[in-house]
Order: sequence, then C-alpha cells, then structure tokens
Amino acid sequence: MAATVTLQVYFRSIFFTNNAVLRSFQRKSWRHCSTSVNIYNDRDPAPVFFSENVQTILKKITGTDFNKVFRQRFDEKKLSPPEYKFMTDEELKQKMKNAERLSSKILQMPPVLKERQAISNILSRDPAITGFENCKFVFTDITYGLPDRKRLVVVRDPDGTLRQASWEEAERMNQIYNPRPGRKLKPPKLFQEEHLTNVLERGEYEFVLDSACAQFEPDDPEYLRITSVVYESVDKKRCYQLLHSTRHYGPLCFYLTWNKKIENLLISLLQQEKLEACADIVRLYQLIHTDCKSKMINVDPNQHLELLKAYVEHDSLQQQQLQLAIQAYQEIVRERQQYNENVKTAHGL
Amino acid sequence: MFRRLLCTFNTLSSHTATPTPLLRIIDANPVRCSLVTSTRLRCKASEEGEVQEERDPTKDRSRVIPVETSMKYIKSEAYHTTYGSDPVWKIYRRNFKGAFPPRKTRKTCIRAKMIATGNPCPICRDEYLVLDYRNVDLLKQFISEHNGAILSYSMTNICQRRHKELQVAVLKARDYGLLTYDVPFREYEYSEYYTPSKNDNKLTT
Repeated sequence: MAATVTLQVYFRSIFFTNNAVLRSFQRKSWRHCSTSVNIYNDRDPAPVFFSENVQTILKKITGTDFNKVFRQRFDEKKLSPPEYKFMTDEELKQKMKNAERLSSKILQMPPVLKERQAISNILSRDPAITGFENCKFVFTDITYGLPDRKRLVVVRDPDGTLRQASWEEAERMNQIYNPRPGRKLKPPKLFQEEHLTNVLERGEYEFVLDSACAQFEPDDPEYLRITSVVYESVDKKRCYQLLHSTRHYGPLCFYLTWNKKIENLLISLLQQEKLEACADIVRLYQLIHTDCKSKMINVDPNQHLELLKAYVEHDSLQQQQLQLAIQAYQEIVRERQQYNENVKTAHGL
Repeated sequence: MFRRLLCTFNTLSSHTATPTPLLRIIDANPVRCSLVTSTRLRCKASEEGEVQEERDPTKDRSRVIPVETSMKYIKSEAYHTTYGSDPVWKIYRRNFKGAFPPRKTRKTCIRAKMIATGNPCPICRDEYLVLDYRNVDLLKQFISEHNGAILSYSMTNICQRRHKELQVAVLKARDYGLLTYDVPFREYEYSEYYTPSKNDNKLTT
C-alpha cells in the first residue's frame, strides 16, 4: 500500500526504465590488494573528522601554497592570455582575499566516512505479477534540484517484489538522468588492481585520488579501498609532499593518524624542519585516540618539541627512529644558531 | 571490367617478353590511359593466368606492425636521428593550392593497404608509428602541453582517419591511467553526508 502511495505522489516526475542492462549490472568484485589495507570499519570516523578542532588542524597542516593550488590545470579548457594590471594596495588586498576564499574552496577535503550499509528495503511483495516480465523495472524520481542521495529510486524485480534500489543501481540511474562531469557509467579500468599499481608506481597519487572522488561516493567501499591503497603507497614511499597543498593531504594525515602510522610522516616532517606541523599531527593523534597515554600528561600545547617528545615517549611504536630524528633536528638548529652567532661576532656586532 | 581489360593488356605484353612499364598508353582513349598509370592497379599475369598484385614496397602498408615494436622504435636511435626531440608532426608541410589550406585534412592516406597519396600524413608516412593506447610516448606528442587537450588536425596535419584513431587511443589511455589529466573538480556538500547530532558535539569538545 505504501508503495502505491509513493508511486502516485511521484507519478508526474517519475520515469521508468525497463532496464535489461541492469540485470547484468553487478559491480565486479575486484581482487583486493595483497598489501594490508585498513578501511574504516569498526568505529565511525565521521563525527571525529567533522568536529571543529580536527577540521581546523587538518586545514592548517594542509597548507596553502598558491603556486600549487592555482597551478596550471590540464582540463582541456580554453586558454586565456594572462592579464597584467596596476592596482592600489587596497585592490591588491581584495584580490588576495578573493584568492584565499577560492583556494579554501579548491582545498575542500573529501569527507571521511564509514563504509555504507547495503540497502535492503522491501516496499511490497506482489506474487501475483511474478513472471509478468523477465527483466527489472526501475522507477526514478527525476525532480529537478534533488541531491543525488535523496533521489528516490525503486526497482520492481521479475518475481514481483518492489524494493528500494541498491546503491549501485541508484548511482547508475543518477548518472543516466543527472550526469556529473568526470563520472562514468562504468568505473575506469585504472581502479583495477594491475593498472592501479602501475599508476601508483609512477607517483600519480593526486590523479588517482581526484578520479576516485569524481567516480565514487565517499562512503563507497570501492572508494575507501582505493584511497587506502593510495595512502599506504604514499606512506611507503614517504612522498607526502606530493599531496601537500592539495585537498587530499588532510584525509591522508587523518588516515595515517587513525591507523597509528604517523611515525614516518613525523620523521619526514622533522627532516624538512616543520616542527609545528609535527606538533599539529600529535595534537590530531590525541584528538582521535582520546585514551592515549601522552594526553594524560598535561603538556603545554604551545611547546611543540615537548609535545612531540611526550608522544614519542608514551605512544610511539618506533621510538628509536623518532628520537634519532629529533636529535638530528635539534643538532641542526643548534648548529645554525652557532653559525649565526659566529657570523655576528666576525662582523663585530 | 577494368581489371579484365588490364589483364588482357598485360598478357599481351608478356607475350612480347618485355617488363611491364609504369606508364603505358594502350589506347587513344584518355580515360583508359589514366587507369593504367595507377600503381595500385598494375597487375601481373602468372603462367596460369591468375592475377597477382605487384606492390611497391615503399608504399605497401599491408604488414601489421605490433605496438611493442612501435614503442621500441620510438625509444631507438633510428627514431632519434629522423625526428630528433621534435614531435613527429613538426617537420611536415601540407601540400595545397592557393594561400589557404583546406579546412580539413584528407580523409585517409592509405587505401586498400597502399599509400594512395604523394604526401602522406606524419603518421601514415612512417610505418612504425602505431596509434595505440599503450604507445604513450607517441600519444603525448599530440597532446597540448598547456591544457592537456588533443591537438587539432589543423596543427598536427594528420589525416582524418588517424585523428579519429588518436582520439580513441587517448581516451582509452586515460581510462587505463596511462595518461593523466585533471579530473573535473567535485565540490562536496557536507550536510549530505553528515549532520552533527548533540551527542557528537559533547564527544569532541
């Protein structure tokens, strides 16, 4: 009964598709990667990810290198010649503000979510029409302006049950009626394991992550699989800098922190002498893992080095390497100070 | 009809035991004359009278070159001496009458597996350049370094058939992730994915 009511309500705006293709449409279950991949399964990361503190930290460590944010884009758009203008200071300030606003839009992080649950919502069973057709009927609400996830898609199976469409079916219908640029009906072959490893070997991390964003929803198990494979590969090769100042740096750090794998990231940041970023990541660690030991000891959060040392002592899994990195960092800083002093004394200042 | 005519002509000539020349006038009719001048249609009659085509090896394109060979060729010394570091279409000039070239390039340079023109396009003229999605080094030469678009045939001067092949190969290479480009930007509406409840705020603050 409920089903007939909805159908009547949406009668005007509903198109139905007698879609024989859907019968054969089942997302291929691709072989999973041999490397250990952690997907957000047990605990829901969304409340932590969207909380204000975490968002500010993630945005801060992402960084806004304008040269990278507004880089040349290979998107087949028509080129326009650069403009040179004389501006007053005020105008320049205004322009810079605009650029910052635009960059924050470009750097919007893709949401980090838990794997979605499969839909199995049966609206009605009508055994009387079993065998009426040997293919499915898909009814799609094509009202203008609805977000994709709220669009109603129902399927009448050949055995007479009327049910809500699965995620895959709904996505397919959405792409047919309401195509999104960059998304394809069939996921690109690049996401298959053998091609993915090839792309990752070439270090095209941003490309893979961008196309995964365009193709999949952020709670799609396939999306989670691909992103975690990419993050693992970045972590393995320690080329975090490639993703710095892109929208994927925040989720990368979040993933590594969530799975307690931040040691390599901290070491590489220390080698680049970015102590503040290290402290931010430790703070992020304490926010995500609320029961960690280093949080119990109240260290002044403005003392970056102390915060880092507390983490190394109490929570780190690779204490020795991190301690060595910290020592090296301290030595470099000390040497530089001494050098500056020597220069000053030589100049007689 | 034409073939039969030609064959009879050739059998006649073989009787006289002279090698078949490239151009020969057999009739006063000018239409028939022009037919015989075509290299493609030159036939040679065997002893049993079967028709066998004689192909000019420099213009023959019946051999299929595998992509792997082409990929190897592009990295080879021979390729480097011919083209240097320029793209393959750089040193090529179209032949046309008047001041302006025709808007489109020719439909195809190769007909019936033979080069059918005196000035074949940069890809047709070199047998070892194979347009395939795996041949990334070649495809990259036809992609704009400024915005990643496929270069127009008005610039690269390749024939229409090759241009179509190029488009297919580039799309396929992008699908396989062999050629990278910038995917259209996707903006997320966070409220679609997560709406904070009161309990969550307590947890995080």
